[in-house]
Amino acid sequence: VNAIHQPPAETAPRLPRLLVVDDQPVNIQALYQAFSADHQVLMATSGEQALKLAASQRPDLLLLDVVMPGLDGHEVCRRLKADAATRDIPVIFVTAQTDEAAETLGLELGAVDFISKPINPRVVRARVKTHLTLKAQADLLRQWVYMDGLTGVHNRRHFDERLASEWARAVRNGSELSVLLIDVDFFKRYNDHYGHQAGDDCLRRVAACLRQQIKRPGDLVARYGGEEFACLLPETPLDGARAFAEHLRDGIRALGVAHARSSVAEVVTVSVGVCTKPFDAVASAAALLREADAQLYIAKSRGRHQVCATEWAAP
Amino acid sequence: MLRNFLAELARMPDTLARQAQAAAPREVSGTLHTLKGLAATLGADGLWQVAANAERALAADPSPAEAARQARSASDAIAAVAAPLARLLAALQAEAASTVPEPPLAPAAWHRALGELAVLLENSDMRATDLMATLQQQDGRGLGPELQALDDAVGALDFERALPLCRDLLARTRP
Repeated sequence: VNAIHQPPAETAPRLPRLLVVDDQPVNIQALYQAFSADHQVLMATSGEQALKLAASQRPDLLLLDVVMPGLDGHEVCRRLKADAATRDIPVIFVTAQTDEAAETLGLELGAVDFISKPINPRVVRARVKTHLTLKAQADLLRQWVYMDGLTGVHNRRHFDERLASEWARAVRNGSELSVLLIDVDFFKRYNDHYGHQAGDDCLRRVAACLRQQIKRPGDLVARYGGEEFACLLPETPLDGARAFAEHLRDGIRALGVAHARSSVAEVVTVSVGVCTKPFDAVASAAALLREADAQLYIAKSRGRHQVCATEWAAP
Repeated sequence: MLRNFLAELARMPDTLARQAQAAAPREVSGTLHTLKGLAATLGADGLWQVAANAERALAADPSPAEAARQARSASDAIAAVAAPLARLLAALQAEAASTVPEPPLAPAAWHRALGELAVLLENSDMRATDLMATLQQQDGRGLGPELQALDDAVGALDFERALPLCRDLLARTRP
């Protein structure tokens, strides 16, 4: 069982990643000397290259020269801060400009600090360390806002936001989108019989099992509330979503968590409702979710421990 | 670093003369700013002082005549330090060459390292410069001259030029 607040697998520990941007290789090499021992240092010699690398490599911090041919440092900073994907990357300007106006402009554009050339390696390292620490704390807070504290999977807030964005993407691209709602069968009886602490442990094991089944990068599992979980499967047609739901159902049963008060099995089981947006449907994310909930209700009313699935169709 | 610094210094007098001739004080000022930053980074204090003074003077009087005067002043200062710095670089390179070389890597290990270099270059990762040095020192395949072009590109941090050279070597040296 994964511990509470354990970071997702994709954020496994690694060296802090810096992106040094300067049109002069000598300046990049000087900063590399200062950081190579305990940081991964990426470099760009132009503003255009810096923007591409910031988007693709997601550095933890940028050390950015101001005066460069083409896109200068100020414009690079402005564009980074205008893009949701890169706006949280702290930017420190490193420049031979020493006037107050240049420093003020840099800070107004969203930079967190301003360092003058020639650099003093110890000062730069200290400032970078400070901003990396602040960034790590901010990342953790952002992550916790979207995590369920009990089970360690994402929470409903994150699911709702992702559902909205995936729905918009699916409508724009004319692609399918499937939603699964998963309910632990007879969970109230489980809690009453084994106690709330055991109930919490059961939910953690179910969540961990669901998370293990999620293999594709775009797929998502979240705790939707109580003993209910939700899965989001972009670009997945009905057949695929139904097969995946059966796979989840079998996986939970195979956990073998004893449930002496269940009417369908001697172990913990789940019921699953599935609804798929066909490639040409344009209703709404809320309608998709409602229909998945209706399918879950049918699965439960038919005796639980089963999957009921449908494609969304206009009423 | 010194090699790149010297390469940049070698280009600057021509650049400054061209910009001054084109009566482009802003461009001259930009080049002086670059010179100031580089000199400061390398600790070339005298050169830094000349560049800083020239940049300040040009900011106070941004006329083409002043630009030409400051460009000449900076070029003279560059000429004065270029020869001693070149001698220093040669001495450092001679010292490095006199150290006992590392034993060459086996062909398979060397090829694997070259593959790692390609990945580092793709990601614009500065560790490429360290790995390149290892490949040069432990070249067990006698590729010295062929490696030079790749080494030059990596040393100049021109990874876009280095990557196809690296891939070409990878294809040609597969064990």
